[in-house]
Amino acid sequence: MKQKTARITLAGLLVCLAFVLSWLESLIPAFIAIPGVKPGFANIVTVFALFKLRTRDAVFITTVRVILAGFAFSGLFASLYALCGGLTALIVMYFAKKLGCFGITGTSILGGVFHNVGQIVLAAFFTETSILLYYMPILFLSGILCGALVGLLSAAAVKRIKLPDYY
Amino acid sequence: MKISKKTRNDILLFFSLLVIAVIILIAASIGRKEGSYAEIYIDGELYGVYSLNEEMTVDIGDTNRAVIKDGCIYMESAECPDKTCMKRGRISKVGESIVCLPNRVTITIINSKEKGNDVVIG
Repeated sequence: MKQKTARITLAGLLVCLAFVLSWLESLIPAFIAIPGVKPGFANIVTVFALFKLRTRDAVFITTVRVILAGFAFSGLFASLYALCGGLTALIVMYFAKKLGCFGITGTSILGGVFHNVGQIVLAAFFTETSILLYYMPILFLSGILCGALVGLLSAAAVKRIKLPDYY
Repeated sequence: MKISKKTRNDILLFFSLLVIAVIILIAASIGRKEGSYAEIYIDGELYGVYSLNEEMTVDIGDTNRAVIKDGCIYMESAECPDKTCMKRGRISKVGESIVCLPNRVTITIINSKEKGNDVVIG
């Protein structure tokens, strides 16, 4: 019982933390200059949860955060994109972690890249693909750089934050 | 300090992806097609679509003037202090754009008249 309560509480706290990070990010106008390019600091929480908690907790926290942040800051359509990207990234990161040959930063880089790949695939259904093709290299590049940044930060968090055994 | 195998793999992954990204970027800029129409937007609303094959001068609102010549479009004059849009020069390839932020004017090159870029990925 204690275990279950602790898990629920921690998941709630992490959703909250990710939500705040999304909010802080939405305040910085420099990142809005190129649509689609965001550092994605909220993904630090996702990476942290993936490495420290159970996989289903990571999925739960990411999904709730994306839906909350989507409705609060961007709207229905954008949150659909964000959800597609976020879950694609999570699936890829899960397999990268299982594979075991990359560290936390490497896993996060793959997550960053596939986050944008997931969004492009979804966008390909809605828009003219030729315009997307010109957009793709920028998103690919930003996925690598932002993924690396998020990865370094989450690696630091995973290293420093100690959780009790029952998580 | 000895670097662990995982860290080494991470660094390798980072740089190999970076190389792939640069290759895609170069390939995409070489492979760009010449566009045939220019879309002009004011404040996010479509102001007009103009063929790049006809030489003409377009007055955009009261603030900007664009010129279409030799299959390219450029901003000839703008009533703003920074003149960034004029410095952008001539554009002709699909996806290229001129943005005049103070007057909220955007010019984008498109392929066909029917469909434009109607969704922004976020």
